[in-house]
Amino acid sequence: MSSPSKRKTFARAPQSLFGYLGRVAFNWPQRLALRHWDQIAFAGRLLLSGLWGNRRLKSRRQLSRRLFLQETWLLFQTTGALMILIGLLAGFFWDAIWFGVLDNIGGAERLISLVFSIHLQEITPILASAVITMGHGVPMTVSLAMRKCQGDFATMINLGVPVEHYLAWPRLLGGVVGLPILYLLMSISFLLGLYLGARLFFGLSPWDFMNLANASLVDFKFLKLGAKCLLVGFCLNFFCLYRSWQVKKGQLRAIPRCARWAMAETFLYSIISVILVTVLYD
Amino acid sequence: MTSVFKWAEVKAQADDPPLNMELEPGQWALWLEPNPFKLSLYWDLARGFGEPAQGRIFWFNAPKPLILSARQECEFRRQFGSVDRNDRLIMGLNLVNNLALYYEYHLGYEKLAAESEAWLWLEKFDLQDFAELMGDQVPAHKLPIASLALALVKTPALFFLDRPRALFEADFALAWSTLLELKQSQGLPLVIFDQQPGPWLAEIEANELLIWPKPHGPELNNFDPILKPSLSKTSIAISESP
Repeated sequence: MSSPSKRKTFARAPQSLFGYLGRVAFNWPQRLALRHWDQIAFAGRLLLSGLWGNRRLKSRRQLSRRLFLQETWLLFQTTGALMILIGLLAGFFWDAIWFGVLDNIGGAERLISLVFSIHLQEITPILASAVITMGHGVPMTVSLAMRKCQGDFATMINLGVPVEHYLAWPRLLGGVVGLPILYLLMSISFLLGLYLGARLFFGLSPWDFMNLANASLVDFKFLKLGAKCLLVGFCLNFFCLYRSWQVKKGQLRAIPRCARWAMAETFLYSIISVILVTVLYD
Repeated sequence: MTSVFKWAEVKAQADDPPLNMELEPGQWALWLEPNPFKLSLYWDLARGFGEPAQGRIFWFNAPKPLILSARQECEFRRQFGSVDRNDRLIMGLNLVNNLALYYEYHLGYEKLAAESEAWLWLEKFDLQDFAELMGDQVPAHKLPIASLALALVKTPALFFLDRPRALFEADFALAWSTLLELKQSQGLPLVIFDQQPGPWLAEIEANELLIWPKPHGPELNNFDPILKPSLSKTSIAISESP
């Protein structure tokens, strides 16, 4: 027979469970709303500093341009090679996966039309977002959070340089502009991988491949893809920047948590934005 | 003459005595507070971090508004320079670019022109050998003087120093002569926050230095006798040092 204290514990179990569920049910939306409110405030601060920052001095525009180019180049340096490699592999494996069922779906012609309608428009933006988040976004969050921890932001403010303008804007713009170019790079390497696979498995000539690709390109929705790239680029940089700004001076222990949140939010919102664009456009 | 820095009936904490202080251009003041926690509180209040429990602090005849945007905060901080004993350089930039950033961002210099201006500061403070080091790689004994250079780059109209022992021990002649030169040429007002007067006090004429908070009651009589022997000792120490 169980002891009275154990019986008491068991008697309280439903109460504890429902209490916990109730707390989660009531607190979670509240916390979510608060977090979004904070993110909106951060976006407002960014916007204001961006509007003010370029207005007063011509040279500040030059500085911003230099920083923007620096950040875009850094994006290419850190993720360019990985994007090309993943694009090539994905193209090759796309062939390999569909090789066995090609007879049923209409051969190479059907395969290439599927690539253009599904892979390049729906899957590649998410793949690109994953690669850039891990190769560029999270390291950026960690490095900025580290700088904030070490008192870099405070030194800049003492010097009269707004950190939002000097550190956040070049990264945000660099990401938004760099992502479509990286996407293009990934798509080209994907098509190259696809062609190599098609040549290996079906003996497709380059001319036939180009003809098939050209025929599929007619239905290609560039506007939809552009909107996706812009949104993914924005999500990626905004949430990574927001999370790095959340660290307080001296809080080194908070950096891994920030990196985790940055990665989770970037994935979540970039996938949501890709799906939303698909739903709204179609 | 207008005051550049003023405390009007300020109580840092509710149970403190109210403080009234005023600094004019060209004046130097020593803020003596033996309690390090209280001194840090005064130091933060003087630089506009936080609000006093009572009274108002004025910088250039204007108090700091309660709510400031990031831009306004930066504009406010541009007016005065400060060297904290925990100050660091911008770790994402090398030492030249640390100093060049102000010229580039605020004064509209091209990158090369800004860097050549920064090199002048480096030569002035004998920091040429550390020019290419990143902000977090500058050796500890050169960090105070580099922080001083970074604070002076923005040609402040008011200057604060927090417990400048490390700065004055490592590069006393350089730092002191620069501050004196700025005092004579531009009338730079300076407030030094410290727990006790340092050896550098011997370098200042007694009537040129205000001492805050003004000692009152029996402390007034005790203040000078405590200060004078230490002054005579430190002046000997300075004259004997190479």
